[in-house]
Amino acid sequence: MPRDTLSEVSDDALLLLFAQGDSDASRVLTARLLPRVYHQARRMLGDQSEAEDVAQDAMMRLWRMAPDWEQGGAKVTTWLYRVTANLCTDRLRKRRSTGLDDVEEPADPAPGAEQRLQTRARADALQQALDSLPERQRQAVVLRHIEGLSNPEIAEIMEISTEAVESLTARGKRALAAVFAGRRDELGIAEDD
Amino acid sequence: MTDQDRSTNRLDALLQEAARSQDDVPAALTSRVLADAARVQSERPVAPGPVRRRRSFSWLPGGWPGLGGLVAATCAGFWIGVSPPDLLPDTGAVLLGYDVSETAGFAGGADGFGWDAEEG
Repeated sequence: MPRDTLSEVSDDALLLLFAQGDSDASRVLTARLLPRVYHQARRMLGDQSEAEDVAQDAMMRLWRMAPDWEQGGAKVTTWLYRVTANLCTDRLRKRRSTGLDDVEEPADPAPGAEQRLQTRARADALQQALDSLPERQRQAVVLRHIEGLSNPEIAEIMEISTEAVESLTARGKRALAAVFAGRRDELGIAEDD
Repeated sequence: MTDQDRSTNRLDALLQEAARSQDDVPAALTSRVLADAARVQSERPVAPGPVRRRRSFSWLPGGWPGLGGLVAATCAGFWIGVSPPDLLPDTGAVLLGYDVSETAGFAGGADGFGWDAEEG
């Protein structure tokens, strides 16, 4: 089936086409789903290389599961976010058990651009602050405030109640706010009135 | 506006900035994922498309063999109705108001054509 036509097709129908050997279906699914998986892993792990590994692993699980996917059942994105979250949790636990907590070195920004420096500094500070949150809080904050998912969808992904999601995101945001409270000037965050 | 409100607003702005400025997916990662997809597709036989279920009588007690028996029994019953054995009353005649003895007499009359009389 031509790729243009496939752009309107639902995720689970694309999975069926993929299982039937349609290679265009895998391209459309990759374009649609890989960024979500990669960004979630990137925020959860704070490490590009590990995020790439997790994203590749999650997508591999999707390809392998395609023939058994129940059409009209759970959303593909929900399933994929959950797989990614579990893979990230495994990595974080492994890190803790081996005592490694490598924080990626920030990339060198373009020289002379103060604005970009501050933007980069804020992004790095946010990532560090996210890294300092307990794992479940981090997951809820990333999915809610960066990936933009709804609370019921996050509840399904994390297999908890919507109220528990609200509680996790609220506590996570309070903790993040506390981290940023003392770094306003350093990060160029404007004072509002 | 309280300090807490200001703090929350600043954090929301930071999170929105983070959501807007997500890193691009590395091209090498996309290539690896597509290569994985191609490998998985080549490893297994192509899954069949949605199978249209053949209309089936499997829900009947006994399934197809049961249906065959039902057809045979219906044919046999019809034939018995058309040509009942001698031992059974002719229900058709009874229902149509003929005297059974009339039909018996007709049968009796037809079986000899008087030949029995000729033979003495």
